Amino acid sequence: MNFFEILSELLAQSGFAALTWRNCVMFVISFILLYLAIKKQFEPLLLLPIAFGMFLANLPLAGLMTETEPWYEQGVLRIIYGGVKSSLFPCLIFMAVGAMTDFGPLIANPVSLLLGAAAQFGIYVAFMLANATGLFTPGEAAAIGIIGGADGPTAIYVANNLAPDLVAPIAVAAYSYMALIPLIQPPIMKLLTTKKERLCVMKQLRKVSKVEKVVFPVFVVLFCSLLLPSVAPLLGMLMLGNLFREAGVVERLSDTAQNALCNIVTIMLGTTVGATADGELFLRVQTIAIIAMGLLAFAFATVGGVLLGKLLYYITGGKINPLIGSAGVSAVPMAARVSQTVGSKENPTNFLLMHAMGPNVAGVIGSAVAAGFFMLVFG
Amino acid sequence: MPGKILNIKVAPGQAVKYGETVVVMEAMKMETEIVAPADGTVAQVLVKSGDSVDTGAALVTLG
Repeated sequence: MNFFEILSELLAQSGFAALTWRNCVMFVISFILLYLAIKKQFEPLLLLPIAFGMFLANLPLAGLMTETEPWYEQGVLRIIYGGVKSSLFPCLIFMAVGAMTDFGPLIANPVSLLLGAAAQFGIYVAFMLANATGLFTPGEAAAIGIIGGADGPTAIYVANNLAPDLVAPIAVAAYSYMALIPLIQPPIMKLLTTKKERLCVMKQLRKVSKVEKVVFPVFVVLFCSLLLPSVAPLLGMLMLGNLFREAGVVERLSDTAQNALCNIVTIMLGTTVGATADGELFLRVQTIAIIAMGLLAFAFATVGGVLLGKLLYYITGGKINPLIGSAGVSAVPMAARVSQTVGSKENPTNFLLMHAMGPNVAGVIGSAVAAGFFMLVFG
Repeated sequence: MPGKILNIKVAPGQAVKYGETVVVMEAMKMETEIVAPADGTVAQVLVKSGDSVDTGAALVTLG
């Protein structure tokens, strides 16, 4: 065997020989996402691991996502992916979200709950559209609709249960659009409100007592889980985290849930969700449809929230600024920040941030309930 | 709203105009500029950067 034969043998067994056009396209997509994460700082905490996971999973012959028996001989990312597959990671992320969330603005202004519910409008619109295209099963359409809830963990949770083949495109769409909220929402908000409505100054929220804050998580889990048992894993973990925060006696657990645990799970969730974006599965017409539906879902969620905000503005005689309605999509706290930014453009002394947090955290509960509803119907 | 003071843009004795930024604070990981509600002169600055403040706290008084 001469030198050139060895060289060609080596090349034939290398990844270069096994590289397909799909791998190359996926490389390009992952590089674009990396660019957006690093250079443009679009949700870098999520987009960076997702993009790199996508890159790793498409390396030919590397087998990072290969499934084998027994489980411990599987690809390293495939083993970690078990946490996504079993819905463990989305639930743990929800615990972290709970520990980070102050439900005070919602308790102080319960009307926010309606705004949080109205902004789930986008979920149902996207569901019906996705269903009408005929490309998806009703369960898959439901999972696509959930993108409109602007809630990454919920979207992954539902996709896992109702559309296991579509987890990657749904997660990528959900997280990408969440990063784009500051671009998607303001034009819609301005289109649907008048200058006078945007100028509306809201009354300072009342102070919420500790008892209310401690009872709230327990009560919400009890009520919602009895109503929709399938929502219990998500809401239960969310409110466990929140109770850590509000109880005031387990500072350390609250801190771990918010920081260390959240970061660990984010690394594993992000990387392996990205790694499910295998070229074979990802480069299909369905993916493009999902990206399009996701955008519509976000837009209609904003429309739903703002329109109900407008209605409440008139019912209350101008006590509620319709701009806080758009915060009903549950991306916390991005959507609330958008309300603040749009409001302060009209009147720099108007602070809507805390008012917008009410619908914002209500939106988390709202999209989890919508998810539970879909899973009950299609699961 | 509750948050942390990041930056104080004025000093006592300084003249400010309506809409001018006097304090930058951080709440919900977002920087919010607190602007002067009217023209006037800064009488007192009651906070320093790094302070955590609660809803309703006075930050700067205008004379």
